[in-house]
Amino acid sequence: MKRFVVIIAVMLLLVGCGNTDKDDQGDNAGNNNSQESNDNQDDSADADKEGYKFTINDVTVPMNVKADSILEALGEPLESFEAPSCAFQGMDKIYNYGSYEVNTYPNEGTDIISAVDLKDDTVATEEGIYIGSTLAEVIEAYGEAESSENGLYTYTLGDSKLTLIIKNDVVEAITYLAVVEGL
Amino acid sequence: MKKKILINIAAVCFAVLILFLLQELFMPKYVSEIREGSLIEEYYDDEKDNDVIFIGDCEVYENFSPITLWEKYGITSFIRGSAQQLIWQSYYLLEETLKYEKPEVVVFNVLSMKYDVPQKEAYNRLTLDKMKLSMSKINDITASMMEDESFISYIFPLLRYHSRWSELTWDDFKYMFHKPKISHNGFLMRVDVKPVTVIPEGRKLADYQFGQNSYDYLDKMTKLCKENDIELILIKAPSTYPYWYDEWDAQMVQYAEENNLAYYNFLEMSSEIGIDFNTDTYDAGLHLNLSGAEKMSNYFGKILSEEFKVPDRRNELDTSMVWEKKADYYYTMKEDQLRELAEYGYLKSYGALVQNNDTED
Repeated sequence: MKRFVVIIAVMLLLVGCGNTDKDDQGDNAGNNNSQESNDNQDDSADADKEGYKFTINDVTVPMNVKADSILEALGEPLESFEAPSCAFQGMDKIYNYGSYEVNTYPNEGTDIISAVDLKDDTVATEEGIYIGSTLAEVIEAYGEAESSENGLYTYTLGDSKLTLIIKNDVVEAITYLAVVEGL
Repeated sequence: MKKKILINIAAVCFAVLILFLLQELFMPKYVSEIREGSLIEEYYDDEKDNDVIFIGDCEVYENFSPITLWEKYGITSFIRGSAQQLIWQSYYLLEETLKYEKPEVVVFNVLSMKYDVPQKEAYNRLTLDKMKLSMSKINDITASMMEDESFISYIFPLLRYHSRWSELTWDDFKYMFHKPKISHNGFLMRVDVKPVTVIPEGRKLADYQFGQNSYDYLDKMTKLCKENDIELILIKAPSTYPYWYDEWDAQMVQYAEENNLAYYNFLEMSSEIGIDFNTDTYDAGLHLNLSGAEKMSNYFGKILSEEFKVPDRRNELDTSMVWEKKADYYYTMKEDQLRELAEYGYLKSYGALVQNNDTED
């Protein structure tokens, strides 16, 4: 009897050692696009949250925060698109405001900001960079990029990324991205 | 002494049995929700006598109906698809499949060329957890793991799922040893409709070149098919989103030419196929619904039959009987989905979201 008890105890100990820091299941893990984002969805903390933020008409759009109040403040988009994932519950959504697009992903029933794409030179980053800015202006505003492979300049701050496509020393595209596994 | 050894053996066997039962209980069942998680294992119980094998992501398991291929052309086929199946996963699934059977044609959907590195553990699980243990699976796990994942948890999934104990539902007990079939030779049926209203523009990319890792696995797939005297057909399924860039298409055209393969971009051929994106998709263009999948299969079946000479096997009595049963299940599910759609406004027990509440004509 003692043997059985010892074996069961060892088994449970071994099982208990596996991967406890991750989501508990592959299936439900799919509903939780990020662990880290859970901590970042408190509305009151959004404005002070460390990370790159896009600001338009006095509305600030940080990454990895709840989208509802921000989308309400931004007003009606020109068009919107919902894209269910291959398997998991919820929708990735894209809101097109003409000169910029806001993307969200679902997390436990809540839409979270996943990206902002600047589409033309009528909008700019908080640091004054817009499509058409020069590489020198980008470096002056943000410093040297962490990487610049194939003209993709990447800066990371908190759980956000700012990526700029720069060709022939001119900014061609600007995207804010949430740092989330699989996005 | 002998008694002591026997007791020890019994103790070990008992421990293994308990672990096995716990693993079966704790592993997600993928029946009521995230049904895509059941696709990989359904192949193992099926007859392995297929002339066409599809491999790839949701753009194969949602867009092609093996039943239509059978009924219209007498083609036997199976879709070894899974959600966000990465190209190395497709390769190893193909390698595994060839251990069971040797098809005439393998069809690979090229969307996954865009992923050069592993993407997300949750998707890895949907492909890998239910693969049978083999060298193909082991190599697949090694190629697929994210940085913070452990190899051993794929071999003994209990290590991954043990803490589901607090979230167990009735399904976990009900489907512990036996699960209902959810697909039709790998095809995941949906009869509901959500028309395409917007096709989002693709985000500008710094580099449109597919990664070397993707090309390496495509090369391996090509080589594997050639060694086994199998025709490899590359396709891009008619899904309007995620965006398929012209630059990507050009690379596939070039690859097909250089390797003497056929490549069909069915997205460009949507009108010719007869796909109406107002009625033939259930999620605004990402995946075709049943009506769309049947049109797609009808069109592709003609190509398989006429250009690749895949045989019509409707005159084989045994094969016909097997496929008749499959067709019965197909039409039973279709009826049930239409009933559910009429009753609830959405496919309540088929993993649909409440928002998809338009009905098929």
